[in-house]
Amino acid sequence: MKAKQLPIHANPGLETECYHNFRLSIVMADPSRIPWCYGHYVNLQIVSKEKMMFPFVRFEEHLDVYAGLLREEPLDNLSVGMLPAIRDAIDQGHYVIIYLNWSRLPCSNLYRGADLIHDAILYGYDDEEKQLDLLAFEVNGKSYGTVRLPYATCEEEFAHVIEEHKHANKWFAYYGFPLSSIELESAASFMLDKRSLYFSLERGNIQPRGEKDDVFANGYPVNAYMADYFAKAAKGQHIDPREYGIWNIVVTKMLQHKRWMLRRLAYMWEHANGDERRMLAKCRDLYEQAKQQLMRVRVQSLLYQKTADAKHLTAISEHFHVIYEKEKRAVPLLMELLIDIRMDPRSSTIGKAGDTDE
Amino acid sequence: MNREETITEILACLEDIVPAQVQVDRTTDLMKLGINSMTFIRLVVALEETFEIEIDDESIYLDNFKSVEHICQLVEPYLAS
Repeated sequence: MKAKQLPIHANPGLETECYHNFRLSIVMADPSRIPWCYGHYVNLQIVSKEKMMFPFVRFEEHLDVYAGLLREEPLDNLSVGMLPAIRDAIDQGHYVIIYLNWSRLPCSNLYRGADLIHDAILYGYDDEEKQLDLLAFEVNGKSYGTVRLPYATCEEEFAHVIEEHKHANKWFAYYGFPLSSIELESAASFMLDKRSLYFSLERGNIQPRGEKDDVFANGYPVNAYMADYFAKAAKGQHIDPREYGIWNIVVTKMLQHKRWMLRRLAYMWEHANGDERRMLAKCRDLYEQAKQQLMRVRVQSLLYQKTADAKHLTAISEHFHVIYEKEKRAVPLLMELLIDIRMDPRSSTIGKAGDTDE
Repeated sequence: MNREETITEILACLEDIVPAQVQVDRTTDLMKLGINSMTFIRLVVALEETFEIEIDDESIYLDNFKSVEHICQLVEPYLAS
């Protein structure tokens, strides 16, 4: 009889981007790896496609950001049985991605709803209790958290996914479908990558381009697009109530982005010298103001969704315009600070080896 | 705040941004001192903090910041309103 649990971060804070949050739960399980995280997740972007009514906002970086950091491979020794393969992986210190149909699991907030084939991270097992430890979305009333599943349930549900949903979900193979191991690369560097941060900021100034159904924007101009979108909506452009769910997710994601920026700046401030701190404090104030505006966007969004009064859409548009203004100032300030550090690296301690705290 | 006081405040904002050894007066060409499309945002933020104003997006372009005189012309209407 044996039990093992790998370390896991309970919630890194990007739970609206499930594939990032899972991997960050692994990376951030050890505080010494956190500096790497603050070199990434800098830009939001809009890539609206045909018939996508509400502008969908996502983080610019995709799973390829983990190249050189996490090694992800299909779990290919299933001939020994699914559970022994999972236990073997965890014994080796590897996490496991598993796809299940969460509409069939009573612990899921989406139980008995429409089929939902979604990933989770297996990080432990307990032979005595015959249960697996998972980190999953929408479980036990929370948006993201840990849950235990009996061995038998896990085996049965995984078999169901393979039998019923394998073909339709094969496009998620590089996301880990149906069962993959994740291990930390032994040679990975977890320092704050200022170069990556700088170039992300440099890329993040693409003003909205394209027509309504085919628009692209990257970085802080996303806020300008949202301001314009809601201004048009206030003048009569209909927002379908079926889009309210996406709308609320987008606002939550944008709030998570502001909180992440503030955490990044707090981390940098902790390791900065006096002059750097002055600049960082200005950036922090601007992002804090942007966050406050976004909280007002959230309130106004819920009010509109209840009342359909266009005045709330006008208010949302104005708030997004202010957020745009704040970030338009904060981004070049941070870029200039990074340039100053690059030009005089000896005087700066930001991103140097030995940074460990969050 | 009269014009002289405004100019004094603007010069104080510039102290943080232009090289320390450079003497700046109201007609100095700030572009030649390294104020560019990136660094002038720092000046915008400093001016907004000092004068407790919010400069309109439409006014945030480099030409409005090429000398202390230009900055003064930009800031004065905000102070008057």
